[in-house]
Amino acid sequence: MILAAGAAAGELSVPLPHGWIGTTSQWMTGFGIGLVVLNLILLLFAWYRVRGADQGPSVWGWLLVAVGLVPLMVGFVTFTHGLESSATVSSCSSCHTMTPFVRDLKDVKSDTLAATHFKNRYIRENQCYSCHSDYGLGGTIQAKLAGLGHVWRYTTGRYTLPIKIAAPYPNSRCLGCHGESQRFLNSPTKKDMLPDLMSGKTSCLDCHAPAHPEQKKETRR
Amino acid sequence: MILVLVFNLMALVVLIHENPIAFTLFMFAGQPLFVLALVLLVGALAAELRARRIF
Repeated sequence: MILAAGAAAGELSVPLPHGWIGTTSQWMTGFGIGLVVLNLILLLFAWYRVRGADQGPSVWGWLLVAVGLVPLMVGFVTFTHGLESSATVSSCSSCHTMTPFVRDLKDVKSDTLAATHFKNRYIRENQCYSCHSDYGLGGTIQAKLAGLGHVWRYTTGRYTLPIKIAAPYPNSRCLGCHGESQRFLNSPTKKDMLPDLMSGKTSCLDCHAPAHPEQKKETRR
Repeated sequence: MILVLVFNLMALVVLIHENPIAFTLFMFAGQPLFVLALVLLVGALAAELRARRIF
Protein backbone atom coordinates (compact mmCIF):
# COMPACT_ATOMS: atom_id res chain seq x y z
CA MET A 1 0.00 0.00 0.00
CA ILE A 2 2.72 2.44 1.04
CA LEU A 3 4.90 1.36 -1.87
CA ALA A 4 2.05 1.86 -4.30
CA ALA A 5 1.35 5.29 -2.93
CA GLY A 6 5.06 6.12 -3.09
CA ALA A 7 5.30 4.94 -6.69
CA ALA A 8 2.23 6.94 -7.67
CA ALA A 9 3.65 10.02 -6.01
CA GLY A 10 6.91 9.47 -7.89
CA GLU A 11 5.16 9.63 -11.25
CA LEU A 12 3.10 12.66 -10.36
CA SER A 13 4.44 16.09 -9.62
CA VAL A 14 2.87 18.90 -7.63
CA PRO A 15 1.74 21.65 -10.00
CA LEU A 16 3.55 24.95 -9.59
CA PRO A 17 1.60 28.17 -9.10
CA HIS A 18 0.78 30.17 -12.23
CA GLY A 19 3.68 32.42 -13.21
CA TRP A 20 6.26 30.47 -11.16
CA ILE A 21 9.63 32.19 -11.35
CA GLY A 22 11.55 30.23 -8.73
CA THR A 23 12.09 30.71 -5.01
CA THR A 24 13.55 33.75 -3.26
CA SER A 25 16.48 31.58 -2.21
CA GLN A 26 17.20 30.59 -5.84
CA TRP A 27 17.09 34.23 -6.89
CA MET A 28 19.39 35.26 -4.05
CA THR A 29 21.85 32.53 -5.04
CA GLY A 30 21.79 33.74 -8.65
CA PHE A 31 22.18 37.35 -7.50
CA GLY A 32 25.12 36.36 -5.30
CA ILE A 33 26.86 34.48 -8.13
CA GLY A 34 26.29 37.50 -10.40
CA LEU A 35 27.86 39.78 -7.79
CA VAL A 36 30.90 37.50 -7.49
CA VAL A 37 31.37 37.51 -11.29
CA LEU A 38 30.97 41.31 -11.34
CA ASN A 39 33.51 41.61 -8.54
CA LEU A 40 36.02 39.44 -10.39
CA ILE A 41 35.64 41.61 -13.51
CA LEU A 42 36.00 44.78 -11.41
CA LEU A 43 39.12 43.37 -9.71
CA LEU A 44 40.67 42.64 -13.10
CA PHE A 45 39.79 46.10 -14.33
CA ALA A 46 41.13 47.79 -11.17
CA TRP A 47 44.33 45.72 -11.44
CA TYR A 48 44.90 46.99 -15.00
CA ARG A 49 44.26 50.56 -13.87
CA VAL A 50 46.67 50.26 -10.92
CA ARG A 51 49.41 48.89 -13.16
CA GLY A 52 48.76 51.49 -15.84
CA ALA A 53 50.25 54.96 -16.12
CA ASP A 54 47.13 56.70 -14.86
CA GLN A 55 47.38 56.92 -11.05
CA GLY A 56 44.77 59.60 -10.60
CA PRO A 57 41.83 59.71 -8.19
CA SER A 58 39.72 57.49 -10.46
CA VAL A 59 42.04 54.53 -9.73
CA TRP A 60 41.24 54.86 -6.03
CA GLY A 61 37.57 55.04 -6.91
CA TRP A 62 37.76 51.76 -8.83
CA LEU A 63 39.73 50.18 -5.98
CA LEU A 64 37.13 51.26 -3.44
CA VAL A 65 34.38 49.72 -5.56
CA ALA A 66 36.29 46.49 -6.36
CA VAL A 67 37.86 45.92 -2.93
CA GLY A 68 35.32 47.64 -0.69
CA LEU A 69 31.77 48.13 -1.92
CA VAL A 70 31.03 45.08 -4.10
CA PRO A 71 32.78 42.54 -1.78
CA LEU A 72 30.68 43.94 1.06
CA MET A 73 27.56 43.06 -0.94
CA VAL A 74 29.02 39.65 -1.84
CA GLY A 75 29.74 39.00 1.84
CA PHE A 76 26.22 39.96 2.91
CA VAL A 77 24.47 37.83 0.27
CA THR A 78 26.79 34.84 0.83
CA PHE A 79 26.43 35.02 4.59
CA THR A 80 22.62 35.13 4.50
CA HIS A 81 22.54 32.36 1.88
CA GLY A 82 24.92 30.21 3.93
CA LEU A 83 22.97 30.81 7.11
CA GLU A 84 19.72 29.80 5.44
CA SER A 85 21.21 26.82 3.60
CA SER A 86 22.87 25.48 6.74
CA ALA A 87 19.39 24.72 8.11
CA THR A 88 18.41 22.39 5.25
CA VAL A 89 18.25 18.61 5.45
CA SER A 90 20.84 18.32 2.66
CA SER A 91 23.24 20.42 4.75
CA CYS A 92 22.79 18.14 7.77
CA SER A 93 23.20 15.04 5.61
CA SER A 94 26.48 16.31 4.13
CA CYS A 95 28.21 14.80 7.19
CA HIS A 96 28.25 11.01 6.87
CA THR A 97 27.43 10.52 10.56
CA MET A 98 23.94 11.78 9.71
CA THR A 99 23.40 9.35 6.79
CA PRO A 100 21.40 6.69 8.72
CA PHE A 101 19.17 9.36 10.25
CA VAL A 102 18.43 11.08 6.95
CA ARG A 103 17.95 7.74 5.17
CA ASP A 104 15.34 6.81 7.77
CA LEU A 105 13.80 10.29 7.59
CA LYS A 106 13.15 9.85 3.87
CA ASP A 107 11.99 6.24 4.14
CA VAL A 108 8.22 6.20 3.54
CA LYS A 109 8.02 2.77 5.20
CA SER A 110 9.59 3.97 8.44
CA ASP A 111 7.38 4.75 11.41
CA THR A 112 9.89 6.65 13.51
CA LEU A 113 8.73 10.03 14.76
CA ALA A 114 11.09 11.91 12.45
CA ALA A 115 10.03 9.92 9.37
CA THR A 116 6.33 10.37 10.20
CA HIS A 117 6.79 14.14 10.39
CA PHE A 118 8.79 14.14 7.14
CA LYS A 119 6.63 11.89 4.96
CA ASN A 120 3.42 13.65 5.98
CA ARG A 121 5.07 17.06 5.68
CA TYR A 122 4.02 18.06 9.19
CA ILE A 123 7.09 20.24 8.82
CA ARG A 124 7.40 21.56 5.29
CA GLU A 125 11.14 22.23 5.10
CA ASN A 126 14.33 22.26 7.19
CA GLN A 127 12.98 19.29 9.13
CA CYS A 128 16.20 18.48 11.06
CA TYR A 129 16.72 22.10 12.08
CA SER A 130 13.05 22.69 12.99
CA CYS A 131 13.05 19.90 15.57
CA HIS A 132 16.61 20.34 16.81
CA SER A 133 16.61 24.08 17.52
CA ASP A 134 14.65 26.07 20.06
CA TYR A 135 12.21 28.74 19.01
CA GLY A 136 13.15 32.41 18.85
CA LEU A 137 16.41 34.26 18.30
CA GLY A 138 18.08 32.60 21.28
CA GLY A 139 17.33 29.19 19.80
CA THR A 140 18.79 30.17 16.44
CA ILE A 141 21.99 31.50 18.01
CA GLN A 142 22.31 28.42 20.22
CA ALA A 143 21.74 26.10 17.22
CA LYS A 144 24.33 27.92 15.10
CA LEU A 145 26.91 27.77 17.90
CA ALA A 146 26.18 24.07 18.37
CA GLY A 147 26.55 23.65 14.59
CA LEU A 148 30.02 25.18 14.76
CA GLY A 149 30.90 22.62 17.41
CA HIS A 150 29.57 19.84 15.17
CA VAL A 151 31.69 21.04 12.21
CA TRP A 152 34.76 21.22 14.45
CA ARG A 153 34.26 17.74 15.89
CA TYR A 154 33.42 16.26 12.49
CA THR A 155 36.46 17.71 10.68
CA THR A 156 38.86 16.88 13.51
CA GLY A 157 37.31 13.44 14.11
CA ARG A 158 36.65 14.21 17.79
CA TYR A 159 33.45 12.26 18.15
CA THR A 160 32.47 8.73 19.04
CA LEU A 161 29.84 6.48 17.52
CA PRO A 162 27.03 5.95 18.20
CA ILE A 163 26.39 9.69 18.47
CA LYS A 164 24.13 10.92 21.24
CA ILE A 165 21.97 13.98 21.60
CA ALA A 166 23.79 16.58 23.72
CA ALA A 167 20.90 17.19 26.15
CA PRO A 168 17.54 15.52 26.86
CA TYR A 169 15.06 16.50 24.16
CA PRO A 170 12.83 19.27 25.58
CA ASN A 171 9.05 19.15 25.17
CA SER A 172 9.03 22.86 24.25
CA ARG A 173 10.23 21.95 20.75
CA CYS A 174 7.22 19.69 20.21
CA LEU A 175 4.82 22.06 21.92
CA GLY A 176 5.98 25.00 19.81
CA CYS A 177 3.82 23.50 17.03
CA HIS A 178 1.48 21.07 18.80
CA GLY A 179 0.92 23.03 22.01
CA GLU A 180 -1.69 25.35 20.59
CA SER A 181 -3.30 22.83 18.25
CA GLN A 182 -6.94 22.16 19.14
CA ARG A 183 -6.54 18.52 18.12
CA PHE A 184 -3.74 18.20 20.67
CA LEU A 185 -5.41 20.22 23.43
CA ASN A 186 -8.73 18.36 23.10
CA SER A 187 -7.23 14.91 22.65
CA PRO A 188 -8.84 12.59 25.22
CA THR A 189 -5.58 10.68 25.71
CA LYS A 190 -3.60 13.85 26.48
CA LYS A 191 -6.11 15.88 28.46
CA ASP A 192 -5.04 14.51 31.84
CA MET A 193 -1.36 14.68 30.95
CA LEU A 194 -1.32 18.27 29.72
CA PRO A 195 0.12 19.86 32.91
CA ASP A 196 2.90 17.26 33.03
CA LEU A 197 3.64 17.69 29.32
CA MET A 198 3.70 21.47 29.57
CA SER A 199 5.98 21.40 32.62
CA GLY A 200 8.25 18.78 31.08
CA LYS A 201 7.61 16.31 33.89
CA THR A 202 6.52 13.81 31.26
CA SER A 203 8.49 13.68 28.03
CA CYS A 204 6.64 13.54 24.71
CA LEU A 205 9.13 10.86 23.71
CA ASP A 206 8.00 8.61 26.57
CA CYS A 207 5.09 7.64 24.32
CA HIS A 208 6.19 8.75 20.86
CA ALA A 209 9.63 7.13 20.65
CA PRO A 210 11.66 6.22 18.75
CA ALA A 211 12.40 9.54 17.13
CA HIS A 212 15.17 8.00 15.02
CA PRO A 213 16.28 4.43 14.25
CA GLU A 214 18.58 2.56 16.59
CA GLN A 215 22.23 3.12 15.77
CA LYS A 216 24.64 0.28 15.18
CA LYS A 217 26.86 -0.41 18.16
CA GLU A 218 30.17 0.69 16.68
CA THR A 219 32.83 2.84 18.20
CA ARG A 220 34.99 3.45 15.13
CA ARG A 221 35.00 6.89 13.56
CA MET B 1 43.24 42.50 -4.46
CA ILE B 2 44.46 38.91 -4.06
CA LEU B 3 42.79 38.78 -0.63
CA VAL B 4 39.47 39.89 -2.16
CA LEU B 5 39.96 37.40 -5.00
CA VAL B 6 40.31 34.55 -2.47
CA PHE B 7 37.30 35.91 -0.56
CA ASN B 8 35.25 35.87 -3.78
CA LEU B 9 36.27 32.32 -4.63
CA MET B 10 35.27 31.14 -1.15
CA ALA B 11 31.93 32.95 -1.53
CA LEU B 12 31.41 31.27 -4.90
CA VAL B 13 31.92 27.83 -3.32
CA VAL B 14 29.30 28.61 -0.65
CA LEU B 15 26.84 29.93 -3.24
CA ILE B 16 27.23 27.06 -5.72
CA HIS B 17 27.76 24.08 -3.42
CA GLU B 18 26.75 24.97 0.11
CA ASN B 19 27.94 22.69 2.87
CA PRO B 20 28.63 23.43 6.55
CA ILE B 21 32.42 23.18 6.19
CA ALA B 22 32.56 25.62 3.24
CA PHE B 23 30.32 28.06 5.07
CA THR B 24 32.37 27.85 8.27
CA LEU B 25 35.56 28.44 6.27
CA PHE B 26 33.94 31.42 4.59
CA MET B 27 32.89 32.88 7.93
CA PHE B 28 36.17 32.39 9.77
CA ALA B 29 38.72 32.72 6.95
CA GLY B 30 36.99 34.45 4.02
CA GLN B 31 35.43 37.35 5.89
CA PRO B 32 38.59 38.22 7.87
CA LEU B 33 40.49 38.25 4.54
CA PHE B 34 38.03 40.81 3.21
CA VAL B 35 38.31 42.94 6.37
CA LEU B 36 42.11 42.78 6.11
CA ALA B 37 41.94 43.85 2.45
CA LEU B 38 39.67 46.74 3.37
CA VAL B 39 41.98 47.89 6.19
CA LEU B 40 45.00 47.74 3.85
CA LEU B 41 43.13 49.72 1.20
CA VAL B 42 42.02 52.41 3.66
CA GLY B 43 45.60 52.56 4.99
CA ALA B 44 47.03 52.97 1.49
CA LEU B 45 44.44 55.61 0.65
CA ALA B 46 45.18 57.54 3.85
CA ALA B 47 48.92 57.40 3.09
CA GLU B 48 48.29 58.67 -0.44
CA LEU B 49 46.14 61.54 0.83
CA ARG B 50 48.77 62.46 3.41
CA ALA B 51 51.50 62.40 0.75
CA ARG B 52 49.46 64.79 -1.36
CA ARG B 53 48.79 66.91 1.75
CA ILE B 54 45.05 66.61 1.28
CA PHE B 55 44.35 64.85 4.57
